[in-house]
Amino acid sequence: MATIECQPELDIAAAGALHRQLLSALQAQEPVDIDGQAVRKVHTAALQLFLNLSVEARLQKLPVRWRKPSPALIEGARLLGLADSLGLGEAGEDSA
Amino acid sequence: MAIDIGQFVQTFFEESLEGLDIMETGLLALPPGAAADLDQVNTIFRAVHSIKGGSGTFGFKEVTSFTHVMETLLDKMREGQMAVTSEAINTLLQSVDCLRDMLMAVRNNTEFDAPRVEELRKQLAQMLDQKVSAPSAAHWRTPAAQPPPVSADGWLISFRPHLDLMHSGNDPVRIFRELAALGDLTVRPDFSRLPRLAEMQPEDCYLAWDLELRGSATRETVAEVFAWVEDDSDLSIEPLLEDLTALGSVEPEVANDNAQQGELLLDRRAGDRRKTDRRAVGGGADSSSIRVGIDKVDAVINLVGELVTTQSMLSALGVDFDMSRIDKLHEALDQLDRNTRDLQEHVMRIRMLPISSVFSRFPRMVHDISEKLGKQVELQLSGEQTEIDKTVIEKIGDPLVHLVRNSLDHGIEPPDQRGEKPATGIITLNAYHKSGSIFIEVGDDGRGLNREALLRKGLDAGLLRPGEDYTDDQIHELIFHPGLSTAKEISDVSGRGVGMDVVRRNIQDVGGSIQIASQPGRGSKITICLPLTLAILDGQLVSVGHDCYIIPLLSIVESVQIHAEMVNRVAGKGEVLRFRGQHLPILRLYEQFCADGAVTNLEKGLLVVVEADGRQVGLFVDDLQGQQQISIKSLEKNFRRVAGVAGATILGDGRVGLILDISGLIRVNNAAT
Repeated sequence: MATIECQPELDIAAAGALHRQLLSALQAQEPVDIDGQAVRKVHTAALQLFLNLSVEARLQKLPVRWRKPSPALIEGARLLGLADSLGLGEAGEDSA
Repeated sequence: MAIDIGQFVQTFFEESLEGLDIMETGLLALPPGAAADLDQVNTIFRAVHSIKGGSGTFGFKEVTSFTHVMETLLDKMREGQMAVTSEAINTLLQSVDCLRDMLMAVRNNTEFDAPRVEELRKQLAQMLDQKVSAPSAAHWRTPAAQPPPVSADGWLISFRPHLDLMHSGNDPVRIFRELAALGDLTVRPDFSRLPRLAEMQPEDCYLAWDLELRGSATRETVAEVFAWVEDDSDLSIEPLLEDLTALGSVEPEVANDNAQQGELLLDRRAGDRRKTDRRAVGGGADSSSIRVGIDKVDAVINLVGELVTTQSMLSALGVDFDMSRIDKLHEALDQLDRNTRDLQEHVMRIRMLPISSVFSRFPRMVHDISEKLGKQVELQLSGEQTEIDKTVIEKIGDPLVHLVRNSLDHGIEPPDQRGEKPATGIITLNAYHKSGSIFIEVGDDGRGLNREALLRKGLDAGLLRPGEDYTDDQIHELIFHPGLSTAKEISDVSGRGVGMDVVRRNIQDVGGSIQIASQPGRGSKITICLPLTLAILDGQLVSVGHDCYIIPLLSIVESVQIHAEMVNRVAGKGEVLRFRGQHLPILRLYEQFCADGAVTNLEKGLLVVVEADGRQVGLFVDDLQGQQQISIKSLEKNFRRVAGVAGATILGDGRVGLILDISGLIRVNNAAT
């Protein structure tokens, strides 16, 4: 299992590093766990990357699971209308 | 990403003031009565549009609503629904002034003239009411000119960001958060542009959204939320109507219709610039900031690189130095000298601004004053890109205004008095570099100076002696004398007799000089000569007793050795040197500055012939030392003002050297004799 631990500030400056992290997680062909408990701020760029990861993981039939997504993460996803697609809708926690 | 929007406020003010200048220049160039020059009107429109957008973002509501009416009017002009009349131009020019005051008031946290704003707003609205033609053309791009409001239950927003939207610090999360605060927000994302994860650029925006905002928010409020991204996205805001048939009666604004698309494309240039500036300025900029081209900064960085190389070379030499390497040391020191000079020159260039920042105020001034005086005047500007030190620019603005006013008021004749000359008078403003100085010329083709009147005034004031012959230059010099004005009537434009002396003093204060040439009936030309910079000068070091003084190299004509038989004593005029067919006053510097241990025998010292304001004087010194570049320190700030001294510097050996003020010394010498 590949685990991604999110930085507290997922701003646009962090997008490049996050992109590389997600790519290598996907290449491992294993289920992906995203630990989002530390996130205090989230930028559209980061949410767009997670969205893309979810879409591709679904195509490759790899489960993506959120572990303790922070309120900031959930709020950002809801504002952009991405909560359901990202698996952050409803409880938003530990959803596959 | 959280954005501290406050850091952009200063940039907004700076850009808005620039925008106002663009509007003013554009309005003055619009020929009244003719069909609107679309490019010109577009330029003005874009300037207003940017100010409106920015003020909306920062919550300066009064500015937003005022610019809104201006924008509507300009929109009508560019769509050909309204003629460009001189009345409209004048009202828009007044609106520019009013807007400038409003912005300054907002920036300084003071009150602005609300009744004046209201009055102008009414005038603009009246014009709109009169001139708006058939309702068939009623695109309601802007609410002020819109048909009766449609009762909407909310807004349907189509927001399609361009790929680079997020590059300039914009974040849809923030925008939607603001939008959600205005009502009930439903968000429908569009993933259709999303590429494969491996192919995406993480900072590009591939998503787009359709949003539905229910609530009572006005269209303007909704548009304000998108103000920062309107250049970076395709945006449409349509009323959300329960009864969809009502849509048929209204032609809603669609941001990407053909006409507007052209505008958006044009606007992008302004938007791109804004983005760059936003990055460049960052936080904490103040009004005394200057914008510097990246090429200038790069040049300095390159030179610092060279300096570091030289420094390493010197360090290496110092580690294991012996006399066999003295040549290498000299070579390295020469290189250090070159590097320092180059670096200093390039750093100075950073402070240089084009003189267009001063010249740009004159078209408006000439327009207003010539109208007031009933004269026809054309202003011709040249050399606006000539660069000059920022400090000098700040100090010559007022003197130049005075000179141009004088030309308008006294120089250019009313059309019926211009004889065979064209009825339209010409005022020229020209700037250029020549031999290490900046020259600015203010010329007119008016009546020229009245020699007779000046001569009479000079005689009356006791400045001239009856019966003596005076050259034109000597007579013209009188206009710089305090209290002399030849204007028959005092107008509120100029002619109170205060001015030319103050103009000359201001220019001398920045180390410059001013001269006038005039021909009766053909006009006058005033030439101002200014130093390139006030911070550094090339100086000749001279020794007087135990002290060292610096003479600005530019004022030195030559240095001569004196033979006793060349010197005469003239009663009441001190010593003079017969030199190249003229009599040159001798000023002994050791006497002037009470220096001890100086050479007093004229034959044993040297005479440095210097020139300022068209007059020459010989400065008697012990000897010449080297020439070097001098960094000028203010004597006034660190000690007190001393007549004949322009400033001080720290010499290589740590002593203080006084920099001579040649104009001042000549004045002191004249007063003494």
